[in-house]
Amino acid sequence: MDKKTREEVMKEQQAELDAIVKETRAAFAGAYADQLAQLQGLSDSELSALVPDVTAHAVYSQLMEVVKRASANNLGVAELKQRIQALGSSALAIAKRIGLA
Amino acid sequence: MRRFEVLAILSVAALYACATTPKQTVELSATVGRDIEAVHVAHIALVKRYFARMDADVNGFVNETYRPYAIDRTMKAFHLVEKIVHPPEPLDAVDEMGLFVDTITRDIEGYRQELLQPIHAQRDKVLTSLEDAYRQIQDGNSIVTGHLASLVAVQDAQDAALSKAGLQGLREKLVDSTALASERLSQLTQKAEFARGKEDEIVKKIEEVKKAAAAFGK
Repeated sequence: MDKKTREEVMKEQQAELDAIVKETRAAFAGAYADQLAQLQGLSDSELSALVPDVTAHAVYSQLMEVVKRASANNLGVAELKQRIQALGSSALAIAKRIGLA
Repeated sequence: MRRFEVLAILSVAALYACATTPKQTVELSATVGRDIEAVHVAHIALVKRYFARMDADVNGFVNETYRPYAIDRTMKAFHLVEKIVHPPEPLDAVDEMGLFVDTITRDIEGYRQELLQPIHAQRDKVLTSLEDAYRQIQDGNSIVTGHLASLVAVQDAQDAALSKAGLQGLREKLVDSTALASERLSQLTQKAEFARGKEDEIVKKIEEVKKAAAAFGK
């Protein structure tokens, strides 16, 4: 009978070790079930409590869009001095008609 | 001409005569924004610290409980000592030891990652939701701050225009004025924008406004 090669023996040893490791994992999970349960992270309710329940992004977007438009309008009004001057020619005609100028 | 400018300025003031916005509102809103950011930073730091503690718990458990358990049980089940002394042909003791160390190290680190993965997923979820929430709140606050600044800009323009016309403090008087007078002035502004060629119609309105302006001056 031919002798096994080094690679063949290494493969057998590795397979034996892998099987042992698998069994060890299972045995450990049973022996330390309580401790493992405590390390599982947060429960669903705990996680929900940490996640802020803020207003939906869509609602924010709609509100912000409206306010941004209003702000733009306000800034337009702030430049109304120029608009008043633009009204000057008509205003001058009216003022002359009613004796204001 | 000067009297018409006064009327025009009055009409502008009338458009926004119903509110006053002190500059401090902008500062207050900006301050709130900065403080929200400070709370944001602290909140994120707290969450990271909390999850880091959970990481440490897992690492401690793996290092102090699983690793010795796995090494001991695997060594015995694999008969490592015997195999080091009498390794199967053609392997030697170093081959057996290397195989064992590689396998047990891979197993321990794999187990560590299995336990940490759900915690990291929860951490990422919480951090993402917090970042999204704070970003949304900050964006909203920035928009409000900008809007308040725009109100102040309108007010400043009114004040500058009224001051130029020698009517300092008129805006404050307008705040207390009647809605009827404001409405008339507003109508004049709209009419004035389309005034070219309609002077006769506007003249009548001007007369009405003159009466209203006289009332404001009192």
